Amino acid sequence: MKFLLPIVACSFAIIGLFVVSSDTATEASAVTEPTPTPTPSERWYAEAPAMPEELKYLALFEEIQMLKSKDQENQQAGETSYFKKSFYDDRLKLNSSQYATMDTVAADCMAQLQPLEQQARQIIEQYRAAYPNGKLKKVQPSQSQGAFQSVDAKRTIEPLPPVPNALIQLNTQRNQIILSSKEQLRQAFGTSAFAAFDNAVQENARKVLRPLNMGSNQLPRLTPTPTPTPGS
Amino acid sequence: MNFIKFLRATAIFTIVLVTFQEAEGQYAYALSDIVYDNVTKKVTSLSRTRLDFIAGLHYDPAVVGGMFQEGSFLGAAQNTGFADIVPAVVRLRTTFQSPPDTRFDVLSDHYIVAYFYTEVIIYGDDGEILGRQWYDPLGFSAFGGGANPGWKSYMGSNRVATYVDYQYFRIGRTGRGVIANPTVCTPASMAAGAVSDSCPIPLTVRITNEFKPGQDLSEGGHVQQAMLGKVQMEVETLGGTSEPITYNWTSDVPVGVSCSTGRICLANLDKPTTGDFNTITVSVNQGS
Repeated sequence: MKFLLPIVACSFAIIGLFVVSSDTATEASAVTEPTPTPTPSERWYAEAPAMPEELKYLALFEEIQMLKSKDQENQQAGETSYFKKSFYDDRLKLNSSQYATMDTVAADCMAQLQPLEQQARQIIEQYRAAYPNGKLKKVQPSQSQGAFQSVDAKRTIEPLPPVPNALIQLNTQRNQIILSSKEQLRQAFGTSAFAAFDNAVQENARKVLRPLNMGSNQLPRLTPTPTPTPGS
Repeated sequence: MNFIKFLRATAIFTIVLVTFQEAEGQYAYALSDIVYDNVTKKVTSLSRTRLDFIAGLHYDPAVVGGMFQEGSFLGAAQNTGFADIVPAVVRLRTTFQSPPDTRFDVLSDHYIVAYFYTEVIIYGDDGEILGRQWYDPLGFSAFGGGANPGWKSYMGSNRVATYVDYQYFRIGRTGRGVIANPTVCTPASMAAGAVSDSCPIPLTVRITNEFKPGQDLSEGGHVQQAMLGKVQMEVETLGGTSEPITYNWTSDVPVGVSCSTGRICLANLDKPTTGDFNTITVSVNQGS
């Protein structure tokens, strides 16, 4: 089961390279046999519940960077594409005078997030390193498990440590940076133009993003942290 | 003194609220998007699974993204990220110019990959086997990997940490479509009736209410892109009424009372009756 996903995906990918390129530009004219698949329908585009602003804007900035890099890759391959411009025009309803601001704010935001993400990576790797290769530590087994002790090994597992405070703080900082970038756009565009832009962002997030949440009663309560203040 | 008590209570409530909001983590964010470039007439898609910082401690994100043209499979790829730091991303693009009025879709299957596991001994007829049980502290495996999960269906799931015998949890599918290389309608072509089934018609329908003569049901009327076929519009009745309402419509597109060849006709198909909000259906037809 562990290897099922990569195997299935690789099979699809090999077939798909004939007509679609992923990160490398693969030109071909062959057409694959139509594969029976469910026809996409509007039911997949159901409205998503409210999401944190920072997640919507992070997704926006990431997508802009992705489209920008896709255009650059195409240009290096000798082809000119305008995916980012199409996204600006059709999705965000930006006018050409707003392109540069959007480019700068998105790039700056992602650049500011990089060092935080490096710190977060170290914290997460340390957290996981306490359990080499992910193997959970066992504690003294109880006396009541009898012959099924090994099968019920999960009952003898030491609880995972709480979420590191440093990671919580980094997450707060990250959210502040994203919301601050949003505020920069507000100031650059002006109130009314930003309102129209923000509407487009919200509409876009509603269509393309879906939060999946289970919640948990297993994790300890987190330390209260101040609510990020945009622009502060 | 009472004011101070009130402030103190408010402060405590605020802290509790902030604490609760901060604990509302443990999300995976699924994204599918597809963008059409009308210069090169090509499309590019993005499939992404991102975790929040709590979920990222315990899992890595993964995604399989595939592209379809008119429902036929074109290609797919998969990617795995790291915690909440590196989202799992699949980018695909077409390498050919889209035929006119062609639908492209991206479908993304979103996964999380458990990091923690415990070893168990499985007793079988052939002897003991050492196996693994993957730790799922946030309960994502309870999603069940449905083909078309809806948000509400997740809410009733059992929020209990569990162990499962697989490492990849399929947590849902997202999708997005676009019509590439659409036929462009100009006012001149519309006046000449040169429209196709996929040609959008900039249609302004102004709906009035005969129950209150001369009074618009909705200020400014409704402006929307209409395709040939039925157009659903929700209108608000000013002040409401318990009496039957007759709706009339006017339009800024060249219309004919009776459909002649090459002309566009509008017809009010249904007549909602009462209430503050009603949905009116207008059919946009082409004479033949």
